[in-house]
Formats: sequence, structure tokens, C-alpha cells
Amino acid sequence: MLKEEGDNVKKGELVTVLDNKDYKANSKKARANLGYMAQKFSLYGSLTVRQNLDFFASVYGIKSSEKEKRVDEILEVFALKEFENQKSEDLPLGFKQKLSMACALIHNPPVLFLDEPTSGVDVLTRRDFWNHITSLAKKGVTILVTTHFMDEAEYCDRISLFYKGETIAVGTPKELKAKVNAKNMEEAFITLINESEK
Amino acid sequence: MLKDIFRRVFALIKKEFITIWKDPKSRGIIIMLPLMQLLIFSNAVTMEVNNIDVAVIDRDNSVESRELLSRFENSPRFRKFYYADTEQEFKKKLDTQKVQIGLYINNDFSKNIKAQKQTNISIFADGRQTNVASIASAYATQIISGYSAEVSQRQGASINLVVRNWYNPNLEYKWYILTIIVAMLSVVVTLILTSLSIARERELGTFDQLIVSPLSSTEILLGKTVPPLIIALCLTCFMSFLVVTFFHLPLKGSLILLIISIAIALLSIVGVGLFISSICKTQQQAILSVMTFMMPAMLLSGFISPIEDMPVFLQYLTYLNPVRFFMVLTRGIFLKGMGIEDVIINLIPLIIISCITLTLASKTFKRNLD
Repeated sequence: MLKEEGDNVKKGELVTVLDNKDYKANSKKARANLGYMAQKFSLYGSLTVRQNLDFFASVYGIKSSEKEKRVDEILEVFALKEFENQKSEDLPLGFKQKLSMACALIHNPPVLFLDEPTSGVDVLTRRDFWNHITSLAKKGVTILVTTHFMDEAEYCDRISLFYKGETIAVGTPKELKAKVNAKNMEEAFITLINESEK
Repeated sequence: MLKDIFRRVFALIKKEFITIWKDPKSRGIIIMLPLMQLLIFSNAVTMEVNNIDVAVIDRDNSVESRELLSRFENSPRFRKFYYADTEQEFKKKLDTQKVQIGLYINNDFSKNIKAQKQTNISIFADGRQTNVASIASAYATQIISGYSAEVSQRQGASINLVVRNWYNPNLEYKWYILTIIVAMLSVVVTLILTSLSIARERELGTFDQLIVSPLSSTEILLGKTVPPLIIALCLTCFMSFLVVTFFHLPLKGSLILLIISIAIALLSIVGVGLFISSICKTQQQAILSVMTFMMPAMLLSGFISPIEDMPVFLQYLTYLNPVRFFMVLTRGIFLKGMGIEDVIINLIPLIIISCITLTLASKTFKRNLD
């Protein structure tokens, strides 16, 4: 999902997000300020949990002296400590997703892209995830989440509704609901999509 | 700044080594495959013809004919001799491929020799096996002309032909084949390792993860080049060591030159592999592309037929083939003790090929980066 919309996102919002730095000219710097969690599990399956975190820490330029501390920290936050020496391909799906997010956050990025982070995970892990997301947002991290769960959309500050590859509505959840007089987000979306069809 | 680059590339290299080593399949590719093939091929792949079976009709049955036949029997090339009484039996042996050649001695053989007249011996070779036929009859001709020279010598002066084979004095075919096999196996291993590396990451989605990271395309290329190069270099050196110690292949040239040439040759192969990998979306595509590259690369390397015998345009095409120069170098340094000038002449094209392929590979993923 995010990949398909990647072009729009890159050229549009990202420029404003990253203090108006020209993304193309500073692409390396911009990438260093990004955390990206792919929809499909895309870490190195044959590496252990710790090795994966180590790898991304080094790639994102964390100094070797701080690396161990940082990795321990993030293992703690995501409750992955007991799995640290397990091959990441052997982890259950929920933990894989947690590890993906941990890798995306290892360098404390000011901007975080989450591509359907909660698809296919159980309810508890999902709540866990949203706890992490909201607490990060409170710390001032800009987070871009794609999702197809309408109840999740409700937690966001600003929603852009994509339909057939185009944005058909933008606004806060409250605004969107008020616009079409809907009780919840799901109803709002259905009405908005139907309207755009006409 | 430089330290940052080094840190990133080092992390990538470390990760590559772990992934290659942890995967039982790639471990097999780098250890079992080359060593087993080295042992099997060195013993099996040979263009020598030994153990030739012969059908014989000796209509003369004289001292002279028996002397000639005993020379055949004493030659290590020939194994079994079937003495046939009738032409039918003789023909049947050849028909059923029981024998590879037949010798027919006429009943005027000794009479003609004594009368100092021309005499004929017929060799019948099985043309269905062209290669064996020509080699076996060449051996037979050698023995017969040796005998003929001796017979005619009794009547005065004659020219004695002495053949001496340089660089491989006993014509040990194994020597020739071993130098080629070492080069060939390292080419195969390097190509498989490198062609799969990017394609695998792309298939699993990890390449996207690398693309969004601060790694630049040059850094990714470096991280992808170094591990397979080191692995293949170690492997080739180890195979060369085995070949020298266990097969007693002489290393005539300098060891340092050999290692340098192997390293540069492998770099060009890594370049080809990475270029293939960068244009393929899946591992399956990558393996198929490697095969498409391998066949012509092997055929045009001068291993099967000498490059000088190829049509002119194919000869020019071989200049694009890194395997060709690699084989010239291993063979030359091992058997001929190739000097530094010759080595450099063969290294220049390899360096050019590496530069081109590595640049193309990095351009291809740069396109993906932006």
C-alpha cells in the first residue's frame, strides 16, 4: 500500500515533514531521518533478533559504543529480550512485526512510516502496537500509518482517504465524520467512497 | 564521514557473511559442490582414450605380423584383443561396439616385407564414435609407423621422428583438465553466490529495507562485492592447494601472481553475477540467467576448442568473456610459469570487464533508489 502511494508521499508531504529540506538533494540525510516498517516481514530471517537490530543500528549510523545500549533498550521496550538469540524467521508473526517496528525505531527517527503494521496480528498485539504508536506520537515523532482497519483510523490525528489510488478526503476523524453525518469512521468512509463514485 | 561509510559497509559485509553461512544451501554451494566436483571431474573428465578393445584378423600369421601385434598388446592404450577367424565375426565385433577398432593383416604381409615392397594393413575404426575412432586409429598408426620405420631402417638411413611435449612432458591430460576445473568451479560458485544475493533480498523484501536506509548504492555494491569475493578467493586458493598436493600438479609460475590473477578474475565474475542479480526480480530468474551466461562463456573460453579455431567473429566475442582470460591465466601460471608481462596483458581485459559490470550493477540499483 505504502509502496504504491510512495511517490505521492515522497514528493508531497515528506518535504513539509522534513523541515522543507529538498528530499532529492538530501536523499541520504532524509533517509537517515526515516523509519520504515514494511507490510511484509522484510528483515533477515537467518539472522537472530539481536543481529537484525545490530545490523540496522549500524546501517543507520549508531556508533558502536552506543549500539549495545540502544539495542538492549529497544529489546526491553518491545519485550523481545527473551527471543534475542532466536532466528527471526522462527518467530511468531506478532513478534516478527514487533521486531520490524523495533528495527524501524532503532535510530529514533523523527519520521516513521508504518505500512499496515497490524495486518494479520492478534488483538492483544494490535493494542500493544497502538500503545507504542500513540506514545511515540506524543514524543513528537511524525508517524504515517496505512491501515484498512477503520477503528484504527480513529486513533489518528489526520486521515487521508485513498480510493483507487487517489486521495478523496483529508481531515481529522471528527471533521470527516461531521462532513457526512456518520456515527463512526466506517460509516463515514463508506459514504465518502460512495460519494466519490458518483 | 569516512568512518560512517566504513561502519555501514562493515555491517553489510558482516550480515552477508552470516546469511551465507547460516543458509545450509549456500554452505553446500561453497563447500561441498566444488570439492566433490573437483574430485569427480579430475578423474572422469578426460579426452584421453584408454582401454581400447581391438578385433584382429591375422591372415598372414608370420613372425613379422606377430611382432607387430605384440607391439599393440604391449601398448597401455589397448586392452582386449579378439582374434577373429572369419570376416563375419570381425564385422560383428565392430557392429556391436565390442571393439573400437579392427586390424586386418593380409596374407602377403611378411612376403612383401621380405621382398622390400609396399604392404598394407587396414585399420577399421568405428565412425559412430568419431572422437574415439580418430584417437584410437592415431595410436594404431603411431605403432604401425614405428614398426615400419624399424623395418625400413634395416636397409639404411632413415629419419627418426622424436616428439617432445613441452609444458606437460608426459602428456598428462589430468594436468590440463585440473587447471581448467579449478577455474571453472570457482566461476560457478562465484556466479551462483552473487547472482542470488540481490535477487534473494528483492524476493524477500529486504532490499526495500536497504533502499530506504541511508546506505548509498556504492555502499550496497561494496557490501555485496566483498563477501563473495573473499569466499571465492579462499575457495580457489584451497582448490589450488589440493591440486598441487594431491594431484602433484606443478606450480611453475609465481604463487603471488597466481593469487593476484585469481582475485582480479573473480572480481570480474562477481561483477557479472551482481549485474545479473540486479536486473532479476527473483532467484529463479537469476539462476536461469546464470545458466544462459555460463554455457556460451564456457564454450567460448577455449576449454573445449581452441579460440584460434573459432570463426573470426566468435574470436572477437571471446574478448568479452572473463572466463576466457581466467582459464588462460590459471593454465599459463600453473603449467607454463607465465611471466609478469603476459599476466598483465591478460589482467587488463579482466579489470575493464569488472569496471563495466560493477558500474552497470550499481547503476541498476541506483535507478531503484531514486
